[in-house]
Amino acid sequence: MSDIYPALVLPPSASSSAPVVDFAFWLVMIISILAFLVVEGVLIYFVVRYRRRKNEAERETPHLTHNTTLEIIWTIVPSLILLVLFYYGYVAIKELRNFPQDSEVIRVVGQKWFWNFYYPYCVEDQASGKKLCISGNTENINPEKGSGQTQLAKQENQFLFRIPKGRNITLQIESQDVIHSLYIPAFRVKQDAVPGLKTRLWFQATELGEFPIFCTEYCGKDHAGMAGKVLVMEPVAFEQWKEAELAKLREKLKTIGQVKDEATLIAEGTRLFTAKGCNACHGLQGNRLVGPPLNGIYGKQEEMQDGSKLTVDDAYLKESILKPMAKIVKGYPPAMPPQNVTEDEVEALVAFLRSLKN
Amino acid sequence: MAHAVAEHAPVSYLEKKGILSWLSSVDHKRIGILYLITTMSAFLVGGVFALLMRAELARPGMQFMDPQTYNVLMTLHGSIMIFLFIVPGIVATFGNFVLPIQIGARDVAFPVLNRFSFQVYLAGLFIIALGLANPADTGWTFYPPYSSTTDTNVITLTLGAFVLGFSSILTGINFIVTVHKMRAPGMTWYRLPLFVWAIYSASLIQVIATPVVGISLILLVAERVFGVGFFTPALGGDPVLFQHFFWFYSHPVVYIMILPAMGVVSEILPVFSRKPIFGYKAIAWSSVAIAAVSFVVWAHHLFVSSLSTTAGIVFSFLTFTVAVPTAIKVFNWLATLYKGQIELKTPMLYSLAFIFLFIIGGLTGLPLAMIGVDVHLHDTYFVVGHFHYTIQGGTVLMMIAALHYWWPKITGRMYNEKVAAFMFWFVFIGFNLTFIPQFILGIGGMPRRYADYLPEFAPLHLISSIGAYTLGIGYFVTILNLLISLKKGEKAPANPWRANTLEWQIESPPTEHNFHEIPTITSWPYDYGQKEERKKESL
Repeated sequence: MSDIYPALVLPPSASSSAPVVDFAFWLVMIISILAFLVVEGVLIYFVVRYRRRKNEAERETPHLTHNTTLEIIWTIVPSLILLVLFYYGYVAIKELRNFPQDSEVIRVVGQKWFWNFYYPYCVEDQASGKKLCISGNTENINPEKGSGQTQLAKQENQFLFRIPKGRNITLQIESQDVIHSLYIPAFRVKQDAVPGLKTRLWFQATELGEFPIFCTEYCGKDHAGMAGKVLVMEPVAFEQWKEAELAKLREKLKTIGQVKDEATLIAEGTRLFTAKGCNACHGLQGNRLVGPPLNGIYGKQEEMQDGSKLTVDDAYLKESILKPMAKIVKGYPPAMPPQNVTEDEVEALVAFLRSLKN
Repeated sequence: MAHAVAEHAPVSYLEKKGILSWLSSVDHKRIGILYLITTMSAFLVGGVFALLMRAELARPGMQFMDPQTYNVLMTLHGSIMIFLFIVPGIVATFGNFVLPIQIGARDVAFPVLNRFSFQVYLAGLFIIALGLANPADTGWTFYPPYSSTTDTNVITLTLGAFVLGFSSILTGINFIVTVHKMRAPGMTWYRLPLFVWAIYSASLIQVIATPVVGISLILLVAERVFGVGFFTPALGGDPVLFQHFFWFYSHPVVYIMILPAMGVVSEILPVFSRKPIFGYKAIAWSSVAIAAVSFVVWAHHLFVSSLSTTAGIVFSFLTFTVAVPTAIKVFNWLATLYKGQIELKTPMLYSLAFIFLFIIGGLTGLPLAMIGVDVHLHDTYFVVGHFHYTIQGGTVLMMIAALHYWWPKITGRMYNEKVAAFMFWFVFIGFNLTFIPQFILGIGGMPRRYADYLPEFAPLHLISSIGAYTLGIGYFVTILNLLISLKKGEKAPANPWRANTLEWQIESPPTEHNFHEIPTITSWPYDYGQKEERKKESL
């Protein structure tokens, strides 16, 4: 990743809005640098010119207390410059928030500590009504120790958020848990993912290549690892990739509903436990995080907030994943959001938790 | 203006010994010193946390700590610096020590309330310290729902900040009443030293804005403890509401931090340039203007948080209006230097550095005020750089300047000028080395509050860390130099800088009641350098 761009100036300008933002940026930079040189120049000149030299006797200094003309000038001139800057900031935001009518809407859901991308490209089984769509997420690497940018940069075969060049894309941004913020420096876009709200941003990529995606709203332990890459592809290549993915989904559609053996389920559940971010709030070594630890939970007696007691079984676990607010374990905050998982995935997760009995 | 020089042996306010005599004292000078000791201790602790963070950030990857530890350090650095050091900083220390003397009063309007303010401050400090067993990891901004769900001691930290807020409100009320009611005969508003105007403006903000953050922190605690949904969507709350509440206080609060620093600069420049302050009324009223406008700019912290574009544009415009009175002040300070006879003593060096750095801090605020550009820069290192240029380059440097300027008055001792001036360069160079790379990192898209970063950001982070340690050495030796002077320093004369404000017309250190006789004021305090005849005329 280190060869993407040298971190010296603005990141590469890779979206249709970036030049508008960059113009405003360079305008304020040039004005600021000029103002810096003039004002600091005057400061340094006065200090050097009027400093008291060694052994210099006291000198008469003029009794200057004010000068109305000068003061009016140095109020009005900066005000006018500031108006110009305000205007170009306004122009830039108009461009960034001018949502095009003809854009593809991709859902992005932030959660501790990765981004889920849901494309609107789906396959559907007419008979059963089951539907699968292309999706993927940036990875939660090394969840026990915490993941950082360095590990991400080294990661092979990581998930890439693929988009076609030259097409308008609107990202509809949501959050599963706390506030995150989706930031793609190369596109000059950033928008908070606020739980309970749907926010959005749009761009049209103009350059091919890989560009970093960051989270810029502090969201806890692995905030610095909540990152990924966007891959801008030629539209033809993008269509090919999309068709290949859809074909894979068609295959998967056929297996839905088939009975799987326990070992497959546990393996799938183990993967989902980190992929879906369960590990952000639930420990597996008896350690209390935001939520209760889950090792040995199956078959255990738990006391609920209302004082009732129950034995943890399949039904309870399923309910707690899909409707977390239904029953709250005593001593824990009602903090868990409803999870975005399919029935098959719930089954796999429950199988995984069952396997942690001892 | 010199009226009240001693005729018989005075009793210094430092005469009584013993911790109890200090803690039970209602003398504004002693309370000022108690604040000085506590706030500077907080500064050292917060500074050590910053150095630990910079050690970790010197290289990519995790070297000395895990990300959680980093997040905790980041939170403690911010909270301690803001709530325990910078906010009470100049206002509570030098405001307490100097303001009553500068207006010709024997004490503040409510001395017992003043002592109570300090006790409340200590209570807040104690509550925050209690939470260190499992320190919070929310950042000093406490954004929910993270802050309402994390398993760390958010409650102690927010309650501590809440209690500290009361200390701040009480001190503010005390100063406002003091300035209105306790001025010596002849001390008209336009004869007030500019430091008094600045503290007065900061006090107004403290009294008006602090209750809002107090309420929002209490709502946050209620949400955590009782599950009442104010801010967490799962409970029916709105997380952005907290941000509005929080910044309604926390943006004005940066002016609580910077206005007193501007006040100190306005005192030091004329004394060491031997010239009247230029544009007295413009400086005085621009303080009040900044205080007023500071209340209507908060939402520029929310440009990408789901705020409507229209609201964003309005707040962008309002934010630009703060730049005007700020620029006016800078121009007035420069004009004060013009044709002066500038003596480069330590307080002056820091004041000139303040102007130099504050210009950078101000100019880098412009792209952040431009809403379309802020979308790119928001929550990157650019903001970290901008903030530290204004608040560290501004307030902290002027805190150090004020320490050196008033040291002879406070302690009755002169500090070692050579060491202080030499260490100034460590601070100045170290500061720029730390924070200029951070602007570049931010422009390049490096987000803030990251325990780890992409390899391409590594060289700039290394420079920044080297700068931070240079800066650390600078501050440490500077403070050590002051402490050594307590034992070894020469005895200070009453007025070593030949300054005109009232505190320099009494003994160093002052007597318990400041003045033997309340002075009558006949002119403003900035008549420096002109001919003798003229001075007589103006008197």
